[in-house]
Amino acid sequence: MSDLKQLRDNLSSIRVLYAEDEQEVRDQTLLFFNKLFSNVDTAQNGEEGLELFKKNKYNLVITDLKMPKMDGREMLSKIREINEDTVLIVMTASDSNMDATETVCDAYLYKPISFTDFVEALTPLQERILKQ
Amino acid sequence: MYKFIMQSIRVKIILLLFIGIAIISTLFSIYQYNEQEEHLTYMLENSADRKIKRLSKNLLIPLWEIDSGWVLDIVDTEMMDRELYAVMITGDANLNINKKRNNGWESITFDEDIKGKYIKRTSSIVRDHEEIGKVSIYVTSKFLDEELHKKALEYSFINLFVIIFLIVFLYVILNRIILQPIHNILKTVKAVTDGDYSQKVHLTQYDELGKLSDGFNNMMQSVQDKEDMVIAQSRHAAMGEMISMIAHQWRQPITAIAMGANNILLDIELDDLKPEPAKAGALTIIEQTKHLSKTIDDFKNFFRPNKKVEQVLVNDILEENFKIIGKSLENNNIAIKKVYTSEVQTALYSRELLQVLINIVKNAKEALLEHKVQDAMITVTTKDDNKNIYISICNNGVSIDLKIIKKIFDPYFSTKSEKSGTGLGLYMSKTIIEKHLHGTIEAKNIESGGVCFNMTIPINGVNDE
Repeated sequence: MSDLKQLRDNLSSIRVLYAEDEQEVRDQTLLFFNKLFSNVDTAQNGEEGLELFKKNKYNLVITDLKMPKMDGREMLSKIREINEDTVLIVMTASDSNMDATETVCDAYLYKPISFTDFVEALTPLQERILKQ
Repeated sequence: MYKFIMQSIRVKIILLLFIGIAIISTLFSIYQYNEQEEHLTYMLENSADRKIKRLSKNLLIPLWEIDSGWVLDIVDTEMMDRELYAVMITGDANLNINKKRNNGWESITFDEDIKGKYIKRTSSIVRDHEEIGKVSIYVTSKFLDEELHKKALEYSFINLFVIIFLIVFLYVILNRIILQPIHNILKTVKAVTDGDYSQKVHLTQYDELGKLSDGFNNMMQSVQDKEDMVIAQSRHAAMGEMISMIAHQWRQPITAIAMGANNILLDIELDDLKPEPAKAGALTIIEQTKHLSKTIDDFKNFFRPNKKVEQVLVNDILEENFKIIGKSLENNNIAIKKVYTSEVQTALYSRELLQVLINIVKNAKEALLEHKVQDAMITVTTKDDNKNIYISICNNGVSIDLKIIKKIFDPYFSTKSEKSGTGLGLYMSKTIIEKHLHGTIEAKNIESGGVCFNMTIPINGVNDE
């Protein structure tokens, strides 16, 4: 899988924001992201995520939708207002009643995800991510 | 008094019997009295006829002889009959003998006219076609009347006994064929009204009352069947809801398990597999599967059949409820506030109470979500006094329309969208609380917004049947 290694090498220097309210899921997913990206920040809800986004510059935002205080959808649309080009990926439960078509994002993944899904979603977005 | 009569069919029947029999026996007495009177009058007239005949025959010779002493003798003899009130005899040579009774009923001489109600007979005394005298007698009905009255009194006494006997006899019969069965049916109706649907009317008669009791039994059976059906339906609905709650419970562990596996796989793909992280990933997976397993136990516990009463602490059942529905509340950012002050155990069907609690908390959750309430919170409170245990489950959402709040416990009534509401949840809750746990349940709006469901459960609990 030289594809995967290629991807890791290409994206290792980008800055990623990851928002997820469930601690167990966040911890495990952070481990996963850290294997691919060297610089990942986490937020526990939309509000925290938006604050971090305002402070720092991110190439990629990955978020859950259902979160307390501010949900993922609201956070994403606010992020879009600030920066039109940031790549946004949603990772949410399949029974979430939030409709994918109503959400501002570049890729939509259903939990539980497999790493191949993630890689397949990420690959076509590489160039855009790196432009940031 | 009026109320007393109107409220008892027994009193009504006794009164009716008394009035009916009294009227019949009075009419019968009057008829009897008249018959007697007629008969006695006839006898009296007969005897007057006989007397006048005898007198005129006996007086023939004394009058012919004009022997007033003899005539007097005959009159005195006749006057020994006390029915005879007066005798008047006229004859030739101014023979005039008039005798009548005084107040002491002694025979005295008199010369005025006789007035009053007497049977009068007059006869001419004739010899050789020549009238030699005239005799009149006055017969009184006084003694016969006395006898008649005495007899009437006797009859009245006998009548009275017959009336009493008839009333008792008819009452006993009516009691057997009407009152007792009605009482029987009434007792069952009362038991059923009090919530004991297992009661049946036991009547072995084939008349209207028998049919009525059969009809009642059939009706109760169909009511019970219908209730069983509703219970089954609501159980199905509850199972559907359980599955959605399990989904909430499982979402996080399943995602964590998948990530754990992804981490190991990614290390393999990146040629970076080291024992320590791989071991940590595998341990995470095992840890999370335990969580899944525990969820199944919690839910299995909800579905375990519960036909026996158990000694339980209401707080424990509330905690069981949160084990099942708590995750779903947490996922929807609804805070839970618990104020447990009740510390008495009571005997009840714990699974049924659990079903009610889950149902009410679930309704609160749905109401809070539907109205997108800020800082949504569900508050549960328990307390007790020496009679009841009080459970209240309140939400800080939106109050229920007063027109609707009366109907929310009706079967098939739902304000939720077609899909999610069966309209059975609260009806079942009310049935369980009132019929099975002998408690009460009511919904009340809170002034600051939101609704409280207040339940009371008797502290002395439920008897095992």
